[in-house]
Amino acid sequence: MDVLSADELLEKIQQKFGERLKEAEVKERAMTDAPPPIRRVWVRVDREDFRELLKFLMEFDFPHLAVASAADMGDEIELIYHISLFQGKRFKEVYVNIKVRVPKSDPKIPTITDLIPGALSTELEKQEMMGVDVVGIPKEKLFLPWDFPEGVYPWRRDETGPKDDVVKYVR
Amino acid sequence: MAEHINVSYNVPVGPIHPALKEPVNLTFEVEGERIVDVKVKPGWNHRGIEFMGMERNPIQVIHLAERICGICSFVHAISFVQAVEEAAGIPVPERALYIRAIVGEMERIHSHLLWAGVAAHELGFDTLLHYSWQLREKVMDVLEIVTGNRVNYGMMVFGGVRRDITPEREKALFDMINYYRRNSDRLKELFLEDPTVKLRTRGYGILTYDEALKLCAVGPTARASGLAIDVRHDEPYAGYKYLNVEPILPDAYTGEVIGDLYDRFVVRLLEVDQSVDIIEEALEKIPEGEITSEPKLPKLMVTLKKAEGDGFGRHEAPRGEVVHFVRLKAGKDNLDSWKVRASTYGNLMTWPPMFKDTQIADIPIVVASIDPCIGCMDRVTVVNRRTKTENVLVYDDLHRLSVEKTRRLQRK
Amino acid sequence: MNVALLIVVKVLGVIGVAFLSVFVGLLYKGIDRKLAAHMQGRVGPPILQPFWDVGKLLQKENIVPDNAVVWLFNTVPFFALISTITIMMYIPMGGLPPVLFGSGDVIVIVYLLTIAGISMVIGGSSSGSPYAAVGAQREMVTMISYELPLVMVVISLAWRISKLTNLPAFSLLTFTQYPLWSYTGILGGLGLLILLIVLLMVTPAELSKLPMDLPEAETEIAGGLLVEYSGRNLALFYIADAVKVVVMSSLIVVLFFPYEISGVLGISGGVAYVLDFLFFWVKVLGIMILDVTSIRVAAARFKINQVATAYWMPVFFLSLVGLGLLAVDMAL
Repeated sequence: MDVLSADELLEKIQQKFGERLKEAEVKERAMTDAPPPIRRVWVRVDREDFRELLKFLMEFDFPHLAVASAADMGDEIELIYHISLFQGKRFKEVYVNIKVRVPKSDPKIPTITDLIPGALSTELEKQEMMGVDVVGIPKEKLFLPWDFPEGVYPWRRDETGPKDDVVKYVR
Repeated sequence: MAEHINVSYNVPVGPIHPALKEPVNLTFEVEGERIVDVKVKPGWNHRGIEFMGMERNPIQVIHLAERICGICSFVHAISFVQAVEEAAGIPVPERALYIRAIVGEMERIHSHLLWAGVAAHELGFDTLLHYSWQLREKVMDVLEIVTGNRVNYGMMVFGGVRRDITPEREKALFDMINYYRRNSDRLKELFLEDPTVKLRTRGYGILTYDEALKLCAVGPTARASGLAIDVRHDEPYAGYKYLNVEPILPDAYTGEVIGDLYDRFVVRLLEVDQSVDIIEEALEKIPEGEITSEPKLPKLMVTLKKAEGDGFGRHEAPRGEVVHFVRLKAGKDNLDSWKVRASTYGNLMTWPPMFKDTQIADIPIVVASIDPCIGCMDRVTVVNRRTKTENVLVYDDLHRLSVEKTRRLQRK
Repeated sequence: MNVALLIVVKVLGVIGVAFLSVFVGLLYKGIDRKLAAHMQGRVGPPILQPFWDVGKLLQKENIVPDNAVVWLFNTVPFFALISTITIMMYIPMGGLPPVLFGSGDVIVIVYLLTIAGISMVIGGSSSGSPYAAVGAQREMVTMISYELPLVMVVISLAWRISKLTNLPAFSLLTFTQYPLWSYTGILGGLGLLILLIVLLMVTPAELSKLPMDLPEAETEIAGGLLVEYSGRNLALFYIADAVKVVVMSSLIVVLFFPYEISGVLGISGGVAYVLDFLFFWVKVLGIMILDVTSIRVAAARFKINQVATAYWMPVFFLSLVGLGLLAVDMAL
């Protein structure tokens, strides 16, 4: 297994995906001038290419999925899968943040639990909190109570978000 | 042969149970004492902290982040601060980086000793519980001397830390180092050489290397299964860049990696020693200088308001990697997006394989072995099933309802 | 002595011993808790705490779960307490003969001990809680496991005594009159020592104390058998537990250490009875501290399969060795 730097990894991804990458950059962590700087890969792909990208990354090392974040962008929901490769080597770990956008009208995204079984809990969370339809996992509640009302997604910033009368002392 | 009769029945553990220190619900299907299946249902302590955070400005959120967890309060603060610093491009002076690492390691010592006590209690060995908590008092005292608080230290601020390590605080730290050096052999002997502890932990609750990898395990849980993963080592941040940190695997003590409960004991107890070493090294190397790059909060607020971008903060908490993702929008006071990934969230999926081939008697220690710190994100929403109306109950409402119920019972 | 007077004396004796055993049981429980606390580096509760506990519990509401078998649920605590206190009637305390002298022996005691355990099992099963169901299973398995070595010890001793005298061999009074250590050689002494160790090993399981407190196991099954009990019923079980500790310790004292202090000091008459009586309770306290307090702070809880294996294989084997040594010693 070759250990690649963030830049080398991004280059390989760019070679493979080319125009299909919507965004691709390596961001350096601005903290101090202490060497070596922390460099992380940020890429954005369409949901059709998402699984392919993940499989491509798996050729290098088994990816450790930290979590999938979600942000409400208005008409779209942006999911960010935080994945790290090459663990156990000092200063060599590479973080890859994969952004995927899905429209709110059709918030479907394929599951990755067949590739990384540990992704189940974070996918369930996205489903109940953000109203993302993860295809291929059971539609059950994980963190929210079983009798939580349908159609309310706490992290949304639109009319499906929690109503004001449900939220007290929070604002 | 007689037809197989299904003799299994359900034993619920939690959300309230003596084996659990925080609410989580596990429903076990058991046949006699043997566990057949388990279902995990978290979310009983869901306080909506992420939601609350998105309604506040970053400086307020530091204190909110600290209150995600009482035991590992520093880890959320440091991860959040690092994420915002990355998004807004705020530099941190070197001395502050060292202090962050020192406080982080002190928290690890206290958390691991606390865990060791709880684990011993789950085994029914209360003497060890009291012993390890007695040892823990030393680091709690020093935490109070250094940061001003026993929990929720309030040390973090964007661009540095809030309190310096003065010579007298440094002396208290060296005292603490000597104290733990003196007691470390006895601690390891009591926990790792006791025959009854070994009888209960060796060979039970096994998580294999493959399972740990595929289920995204983090921290000591992953390391006990032989997965060398430690943010302090892989992607050093704060003071860890200058310090010597190696991921600790159980074979350092036992010579082999099994991935059972005993190995998790080994990893955590060895990490106490490691943390003591790290603090000593940091105190020797710490340079003089400023402890924050921008002491004026209003000025910091302006910088943060102008900032735009994504930030990503990680910290190797006592329980494993903590990840905070933050998105800032220019011209907006509040956070645009905030995602907290506590370490237990990563380890949640590792429970079912650990329960394979175990008995009811193993439930508490297996549950405790990942050092659960139940992730927490919502307020109490009560749905009235009869009328289908929703209502949020806050402290005052709950208090009023309990008073009413007591009155009702008194009248009976 | 005419029959009426005998009955009056017996009734008074029964009442006296019952109150005495409850009082001593609770007092010793307080001492046990205080000592255990000090061993663990804690301050611990006041020595009289168990009395306050019982008093408080008696004031509390007695809650019966909806799906419990009500009459069973409410009756078995009495059975547990009564059967335990009854054992005290067969124990000779110092120079005083047992209250129920002549009408029962060690075999009855073994049965009465079982009744106390069984009543807890019945109470737990009738409460309709899954935790209590698990606890009941565990109590049954534990009882089946420790009963064999326990009976082995009793029978070995009785058999040895039957070779010494024509008195009823299973009677506890006979045990006090023939302290076996004085009648055996080195091999026999070794055999007795092994049997004593076996009995000491059985005791924590018999009393459901750590490391054998599986039927209650607070962190595992939340109190197990007692999980649904509250108020008066719980108070009865609480007292029964305290008395049972005294009973088992007394049994060990009577079987293995029936020596009295008055002979050593050369005192006779009424004072001797008082001294021996007090000395008996000191011995009981010593055995309790050795076998209950110090063991329960020094070990982690076992699992049910480990308990069963331990009692069926090594402990039972040990008791066989003890019996063998006694037999060899006698043959020599």
